[in-house]
Amino acid sequence: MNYELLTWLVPVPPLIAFFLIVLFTNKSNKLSHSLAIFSAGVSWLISMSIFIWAISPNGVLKQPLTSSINWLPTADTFLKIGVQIDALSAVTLFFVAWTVFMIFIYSVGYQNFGQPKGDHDLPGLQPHGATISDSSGHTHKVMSIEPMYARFFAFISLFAFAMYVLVVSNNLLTLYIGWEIMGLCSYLLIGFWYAKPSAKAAAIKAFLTTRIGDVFMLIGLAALYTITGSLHYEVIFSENILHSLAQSTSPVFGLSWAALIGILIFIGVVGKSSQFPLHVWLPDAMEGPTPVSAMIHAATMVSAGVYLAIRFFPILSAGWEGGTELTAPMLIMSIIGSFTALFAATIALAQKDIKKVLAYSTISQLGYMIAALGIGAYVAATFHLVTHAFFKALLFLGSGSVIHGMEHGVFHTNEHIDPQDMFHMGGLYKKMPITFVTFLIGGLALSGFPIITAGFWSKDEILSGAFNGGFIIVFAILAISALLTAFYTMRQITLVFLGKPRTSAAENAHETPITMTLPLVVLSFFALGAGWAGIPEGFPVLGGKLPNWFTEYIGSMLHGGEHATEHHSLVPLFTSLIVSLGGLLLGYLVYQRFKKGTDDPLAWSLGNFYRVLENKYYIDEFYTKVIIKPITWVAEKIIYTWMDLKIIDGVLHGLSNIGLWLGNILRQKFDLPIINRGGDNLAKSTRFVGSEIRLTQTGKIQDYMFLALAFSLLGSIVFLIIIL
Amino acid sequence: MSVQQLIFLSLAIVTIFSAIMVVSLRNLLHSALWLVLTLLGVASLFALLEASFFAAVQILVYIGAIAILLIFAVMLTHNIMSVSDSQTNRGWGIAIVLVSIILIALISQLSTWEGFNTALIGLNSPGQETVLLLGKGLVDPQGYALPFETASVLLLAALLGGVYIAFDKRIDKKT
Amino acid sequence: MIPLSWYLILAAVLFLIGLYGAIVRKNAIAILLGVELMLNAVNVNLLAFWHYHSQLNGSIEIKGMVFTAIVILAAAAEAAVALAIIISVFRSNKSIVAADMNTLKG
Repeated sequence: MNYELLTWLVPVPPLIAFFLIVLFTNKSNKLSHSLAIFSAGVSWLISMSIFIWAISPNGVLKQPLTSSINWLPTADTFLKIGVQIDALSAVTLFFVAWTVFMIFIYSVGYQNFGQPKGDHDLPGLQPHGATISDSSGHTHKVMSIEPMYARFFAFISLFAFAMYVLVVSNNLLTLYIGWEIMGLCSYLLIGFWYAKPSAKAAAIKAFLTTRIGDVFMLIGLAALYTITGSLHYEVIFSENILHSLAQSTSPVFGLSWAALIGILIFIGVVGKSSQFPLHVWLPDAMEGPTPVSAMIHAATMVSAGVYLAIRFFPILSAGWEGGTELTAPMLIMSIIGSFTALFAATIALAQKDIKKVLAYSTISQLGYMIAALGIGAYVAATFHLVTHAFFKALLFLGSGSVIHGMEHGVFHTNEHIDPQDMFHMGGLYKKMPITFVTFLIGGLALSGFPIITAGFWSKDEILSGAFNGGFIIVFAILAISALLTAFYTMRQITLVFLGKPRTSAAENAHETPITMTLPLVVLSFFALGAGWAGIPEGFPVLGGKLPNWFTEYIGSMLHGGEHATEHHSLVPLFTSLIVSLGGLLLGYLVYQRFKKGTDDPLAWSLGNFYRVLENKYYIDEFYTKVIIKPITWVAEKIIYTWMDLKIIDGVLHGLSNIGLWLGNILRQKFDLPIINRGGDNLAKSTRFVGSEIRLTQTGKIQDYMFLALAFSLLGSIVFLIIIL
Repeated sequence: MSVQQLIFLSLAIVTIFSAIMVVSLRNLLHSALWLVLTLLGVASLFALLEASFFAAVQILVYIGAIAILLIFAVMLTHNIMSVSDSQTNRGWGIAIVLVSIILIALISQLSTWEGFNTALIGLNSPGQETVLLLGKGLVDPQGYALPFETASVLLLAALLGGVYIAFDKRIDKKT
Repeated sequence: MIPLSWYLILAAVLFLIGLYGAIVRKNAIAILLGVELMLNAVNVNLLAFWHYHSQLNGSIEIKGMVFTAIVILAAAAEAAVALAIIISVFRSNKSIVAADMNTLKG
């Protein structure tokens, strides 16, 4: 099998699907989703075959598969682009392929394929339901099909293409290209219901916030290219380049070039993976349809940021010898990562919307990964990336299923409530059993429920890496965040599924079709089992039974071997057990007797701080006041009114007026008097002269004779004078 | 002052006086008659210049034909202009001035020529030979036969032309 | 022994008198009289120079004589035609005042 060719082909099917849907099949819903799912399936198949080969002994353990082609001619050499499969990209390819494929299948049910067209549905707004009547004349409302069905599948196909490009690329340039295309698709998909003002605003916010990060990242890429002359992983991560980058100093704050470039690239990661302070776009991005939230904001796009950070680890850690003396980028990463983890977890405590809780949870978990990378726990960060993708996608898809069930209930009872508000749900374990079980599995994985869930293994790795590496503050912060994570997860599950239904809409909810529940089931397998590939050796009882394949495999990426120390203390293990089980129990206890209409129990205990949490620490308001309003003022007053209208338009008007003035002068002073009158006067003078000379033509021959004589005399006198 | 010069002077005075009479008299017939006298005076001058043939031709042709013709024309257009009207055009003074200037210019320029004052003495050959030479020259093809023949054609043309122009077309209409 | 200059001056005076008459007189036939005077003056001039050249060369010059003959011929022809024209014009216009024949007036 030509794995090189297959690697090149991985991103291609979704791209073809995008173009075909946009150009040809956009009128037919069935054809569009068939194309999209087929392409996702083909890419999944190719990715799986590559993965299976890659993990085999002939695979990429010793030598990564790379292939490049010449692309842009630059003076003597070419800028090359190409693909690469090594251990990191192989596992990333694995989870990306699975989650993308599952989400594509889920979208068919989510967008209500097969349902009738809505009563007042317009493209650009959410579907509002169709009224159907059955045989006995009884009318009721049901879910209606999304009017922009084919458009959705086109966009997610383009997105899948971009993600695949990012994963298989072997240089930072094509990675950046994939990065930016994903940013575009994120904008298009968050603003999918473009007639909704909040969706439009959220899309712009997402794009601009990530753009800020991208600018710094581009500066970092440019600096790297200028110094090393290449953007290929093979070149920039080679020993001598790393050494020279670490030794040379840049003009900024006396940092080494490696540190400066690392920080710049990290700012891009902060934007894309939604860390503090550029996290503000992710909660608003929940305006998009739930499959979008699952794919983009859980499994793939935000993971791409962390993937880049992991990829870039050699430069970030250039000069780090292990131990607590971290390089500048690693220090910043650990601070920001751990801070974000705690910060987002506290906000998630006070959220009412089911998707917003999951959004903040994502931010928090990404913080975990960044912090892990910051302290040097490379394998742990990668492990958590993989497991998080599975269970977070599962959770989001599950929440989408819940919302669909609630909407069905809302249509049935014509109640006017927000189907996404958790305080209106309850008791859905009876009505939507499959969703309940899969959501529970995902939630337990998120909380790090011991042994059976994947989240436990990856989170435990991070905590032990922090503790054993000596980063006690990071360890403490992450542990507290884990506690809060478990708490709000159980809060969510209790409010949504357990207890009694709090509204009649919840009473009338029912399970969603199989196109939605099947992906949930598949993903829950991974949420359970993915962790067992990375059981550390030092684990009591279970350690050593299964080979710690993950550590070996990913650990091969680090040529110098991982500097993070292995398990040799049980403190982190016990800490993670306590926080996850304790958090889950607390969450259940506090919320199990939650009644309809009462306030959140937390509100009383936290007092005014609850309001702060609910309003996300007022960060959005702060940004609006301090950054957005001044910029808008500058744009309006200075650039538009002064520069554009007065100066630029003024110059233009002035130029055109000069033209007019000049033309006028030429006409009045030159054209009319000289040319017009000149011509007229010429004619007049000719006529005048003629009329004067005419007097000599008397007709009398004697006069003619006389004149002839006189002139000949004159002539002869002149002649005589001249010769004399 | 020799005899010849005296004769010349008297003839000159007669000619010039007659010429002045030709151009100043009101009565046209008198002018024509004074013209005849002028022509006689010119013929005499020709004789003095030893161009005897031309003296004869002058009398024959000029006086005998042309002057007679002029008198005929005067007779035919008689009584048209009354003798009391002015004979001269407006601006006759300028004409005199002009003519005088021309005279002065002409004579002064001619006098610069070195042969101006050469005395004309008698020619060696007797008069007969002059005419014979002229006759021979006029018919000699290497001589002046061509101008001679052309002049005869000119006369023919003038004859025919004159008849045609003066032909009275009213006679044609009457018949 | 008459100097050539006398003949030339005489011819000039005669010529200019004729010219004066041609310019000044109203009557068309009077103009013709002036023209005849001019032609005769020319003849005098020609024959004077003939004599002069014949005297210089020693033999009779034919050129001068032929020229004079032609002038006389031309004068005769011209007088005839001019009078014919005057008669003809007189018939249609009933006037022989030269100034009245001005249809070429511009």
